Amino acid sequence: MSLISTADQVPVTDNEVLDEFTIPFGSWTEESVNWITLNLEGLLDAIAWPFEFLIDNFVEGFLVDLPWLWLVGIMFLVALLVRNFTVAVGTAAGLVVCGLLGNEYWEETARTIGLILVAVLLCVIIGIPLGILAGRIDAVWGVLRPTLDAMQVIHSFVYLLPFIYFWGVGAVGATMATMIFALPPLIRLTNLGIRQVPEDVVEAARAYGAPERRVLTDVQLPLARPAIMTGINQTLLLAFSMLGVAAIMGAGGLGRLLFRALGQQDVSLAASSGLAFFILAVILDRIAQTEVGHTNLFSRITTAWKSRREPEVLLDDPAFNAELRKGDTTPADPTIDADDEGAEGSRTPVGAPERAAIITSIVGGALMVVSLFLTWANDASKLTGYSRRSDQELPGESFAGWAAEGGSWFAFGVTAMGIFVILAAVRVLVSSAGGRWLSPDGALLAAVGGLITAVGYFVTSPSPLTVGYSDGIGMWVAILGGVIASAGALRWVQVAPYGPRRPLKPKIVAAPIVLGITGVIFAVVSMFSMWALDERADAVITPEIQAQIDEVVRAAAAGEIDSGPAGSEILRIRAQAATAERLVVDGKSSDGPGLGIWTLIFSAAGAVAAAGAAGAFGLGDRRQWLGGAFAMGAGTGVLLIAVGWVGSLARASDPNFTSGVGAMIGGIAGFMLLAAGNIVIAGFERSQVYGDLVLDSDSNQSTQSSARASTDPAGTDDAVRTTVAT
Amino acid sequence: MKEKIRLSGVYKIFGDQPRGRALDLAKAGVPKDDVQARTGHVIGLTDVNFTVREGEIFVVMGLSGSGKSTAIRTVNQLHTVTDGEVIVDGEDVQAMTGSTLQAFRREKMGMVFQHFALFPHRSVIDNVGYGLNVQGVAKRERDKASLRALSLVGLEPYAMNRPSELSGGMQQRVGLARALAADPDILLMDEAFSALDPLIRRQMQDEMMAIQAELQKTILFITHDLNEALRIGDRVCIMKDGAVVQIGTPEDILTKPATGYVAEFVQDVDQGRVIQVNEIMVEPRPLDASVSVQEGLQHLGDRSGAFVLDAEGKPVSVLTTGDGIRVSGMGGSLADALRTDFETCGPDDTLASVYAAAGRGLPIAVIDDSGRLVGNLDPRHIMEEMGRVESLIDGFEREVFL
Repeated sequence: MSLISTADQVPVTDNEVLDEFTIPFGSWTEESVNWITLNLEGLLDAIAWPFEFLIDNFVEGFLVDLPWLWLVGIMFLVALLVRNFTVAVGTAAGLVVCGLLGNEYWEETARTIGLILVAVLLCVIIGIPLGILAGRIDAVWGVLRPTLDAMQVIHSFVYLLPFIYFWGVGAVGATMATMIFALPPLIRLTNLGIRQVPEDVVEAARAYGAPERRVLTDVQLPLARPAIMTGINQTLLLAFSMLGVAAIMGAGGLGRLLFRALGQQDVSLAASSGLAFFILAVILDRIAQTEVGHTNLFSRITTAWKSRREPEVLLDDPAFNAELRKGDTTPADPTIDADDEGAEGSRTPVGAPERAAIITSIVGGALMVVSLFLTWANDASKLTGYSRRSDQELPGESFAGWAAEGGSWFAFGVTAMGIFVILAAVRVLVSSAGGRWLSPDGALLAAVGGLITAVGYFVTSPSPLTVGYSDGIGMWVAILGGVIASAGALRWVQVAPYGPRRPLKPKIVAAPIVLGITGVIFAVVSMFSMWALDERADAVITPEIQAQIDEVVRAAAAGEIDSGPAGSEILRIRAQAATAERLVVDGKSSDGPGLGIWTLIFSAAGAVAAAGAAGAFGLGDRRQWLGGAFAMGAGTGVLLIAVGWVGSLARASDPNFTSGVGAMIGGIAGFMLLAAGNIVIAGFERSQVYGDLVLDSDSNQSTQSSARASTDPAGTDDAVRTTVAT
Repeated sequence: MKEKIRLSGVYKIFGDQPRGRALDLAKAGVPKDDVQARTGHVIGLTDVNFTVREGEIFVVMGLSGSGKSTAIRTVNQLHTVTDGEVIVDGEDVQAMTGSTLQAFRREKMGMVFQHFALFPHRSVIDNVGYGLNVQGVAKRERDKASLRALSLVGLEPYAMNRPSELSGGMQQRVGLARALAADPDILLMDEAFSALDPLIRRQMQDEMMAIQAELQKTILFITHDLNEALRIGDRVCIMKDGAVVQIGTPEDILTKPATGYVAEFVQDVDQGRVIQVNEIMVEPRPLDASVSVQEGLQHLGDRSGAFVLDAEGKPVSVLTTGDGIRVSGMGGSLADALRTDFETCGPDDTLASVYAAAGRGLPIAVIDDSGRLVGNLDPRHIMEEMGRVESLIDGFEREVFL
């Protein structure tokens, strides 16, 4: 035996002896793996089938191919059904941002959503039943628990290995690894949720003759629901993080972009895919968050569906019958804040001067809306003249507000603000209680915002290469509408019966001023930053470069070089020129739109207004309120100018032409002013008719105290006695 | 009266494979702790026998760990028994399985739990109607029955509330209504009022007894509070370490405790509320008003006093030992020694109600409805009766420790 002889030669204390006695664990495993892949191919395929099926048909065949706005719409609906309107709007907005990053990012975003959904769906299908079994049968938990413990100790990379061996590199194996990685918390939490249900409640169900199936569905699952929902949320987040890791084994999605960005040290790619990744994580987390109670639409629909045979029972359900909610004497109703007590009292009705101001605002708002359909640009395009060469000279043509070559996103912004003004005005006219935003200050905000947006379009200089451009009637109507609406809203703010909810502090509030100054600083930065980046070849083809190209063309024609190499040589020269001399347009440059300067002007005006609102100039309550609304209007305008510029260029753009970071910074300046104004105006509300209020709260009190009396032991006792006696 | 529930020779042993050695040991009378030490099995019930008659309130009383909750759970087979029989209405409960058992549970009995065990995610009315819901009764009928049950406990206005919006007492009323909703013959009440504060508990007891008077259910009631057991129970069963110690009426338990263990419990009971005057009063032995003081004193003997009756047999005056001795010393006649400011009471009054009268030290005349003297109550006897149980316990302790 050679082992013995070599052992004789090497002393056992020598480390080399270890090589003589290696335990061939690695090769055993390898053999097993080989055997399995060779002989159990059918089994492996069967396991992979649901993943393959879902990925091929649902992810690649459906989600990725779906027009992007459809997916945004679907996700909006899902969020609306599962959660609420706010989350739905956030979801849609976040996805739109992901989409606007570019088609490549959008495709991977859609794919990521799909892969996550597949992984989570399969987790739910496997994990919840397993968790229920574990929760109800101790023996199952006895087996599962050590397995789950072991799974959670293993490093996430290790999960990838078996899947690579058995199913190869690709989305299928990666999704499986993701699923297995994300499964344990769901099983654990389901198990915990089932076990946490109080024993006596389960016994009660049994004692009243419920079969085990109903014990589960009537008691254990509903009471374990918060735990299970938390489990799903955890699973989702884990799947999300694992999918990023799984990119190294060929999972698609944003993880792949991030992985590539790491490899290529591509900052732009990393930033964009990272942003999309982050937004998506927030969105999915929000949608999957636990929400107990009957507040969301989905549970309302379920209840409605359950009671479809006897819909009258819904009348007794406060979720459906607002009457019941009104008389709700439940003391701990979180939706009724002490501050909102007056919500049930009536608000001061609209008087004659206020009505006139409101109607003026409506007229202005209507003009702002109408402007969308009128001509904004003649003979060329002001905005897309920058981004698309063909739009620089369009003699005899004119473009409406909604057209890409016309007002585009500036006109959209103006119209949106016009609609806002009209909504606020009509709402207050109809019910006199407009709420937080549908109010005079909201109307002023929107009117000023719209006016500044329209003016922003007016002051935008067309590209220097544009020929024969002139502004259209639509822009003038928009400005006129903005002026009328602003004047109306200004008057409205002055005459409306509004006041601060609590006395304003006599001293100067620092926050709005600080925010205003920060906004101005951002606007200055924006002015010196890039508003557009022109990398188009024809933007930088100087005569010398043209001469070089001509030389190559001539040589090719003469047959000195082949046409193939000649073509690539031309491309090389162009690309070199493009990267060497990119055309950067900053916010103040005369060959750019000049919007940086205007952003600064409007921001400064807003900051002054915010300072006034903060009490810096010793203004009265109403003027502070007005200042706040005006600061927010300026902020909205600045924000819409930035959005208008970026959006319009994105709508009609030659390749290699992009809007710059300056617009984004300008937008941030707008946000700052919005925040600054909001601090002040949030404290104002419409006055109330106190006589009514007192009456109302009185009757409220009496019903409450009568309800209290009946909860009182003595009272109930009497009631019991009498009913028992009868 | 018809027997409703019968447990005979019931053993319950917790743990795997309890039917072998552990059961043999338990049947051989090996104490609980020894069985646990030898086999690792925990004994829940040892040879439990009792019968609950139709329409009575049968109370099982014991401290925690005495097996009372286990016992009640064998009646609706929330626990299976290791050995023995549980018969309800002539049917062997333990032999039932599956849908038979479920039908039996929902038709025959309602159960009320210590911590209410309401379904927190359902409204009060859906809680109450759960049994009917499981039976497949249509929503409309179910709600009608639930409202009827809720009206019994006075909670109709709260039908649409969630249980969490009610106070503890109200929640237990919902629990009671839930048990009553399907109109079962039997109510199983597991420490039903133990989690409530004393005032509410008393009120709930009254309510339950009022409902019982109206509906005539058979109630199997579990409690660890002897006061409660004696107050509401028609018969009381006391359990200790999984075995029955004594079964009897509240008076039996109080006056004739079977063991020192029971006596120890009884010690804490306010017996004045349970023991009636007729249990300790003595025969009247009236005094003839024409005798001398000396003869009167002889007539008294070791008694503290005797009453003089009128023609109808009503007490008119009383001679006490003290008065007799004082008057005879001064040489007065019997008429001088008689006093008329004595107290009276009925034979069914509890001792608690005559405490105040006994405080004066005078004998109390026990009279019937027409005012005739039926007994003589010596204040010393009241105090003695209260002290008797204590001495019983002392005796037991001597037995154990000496």
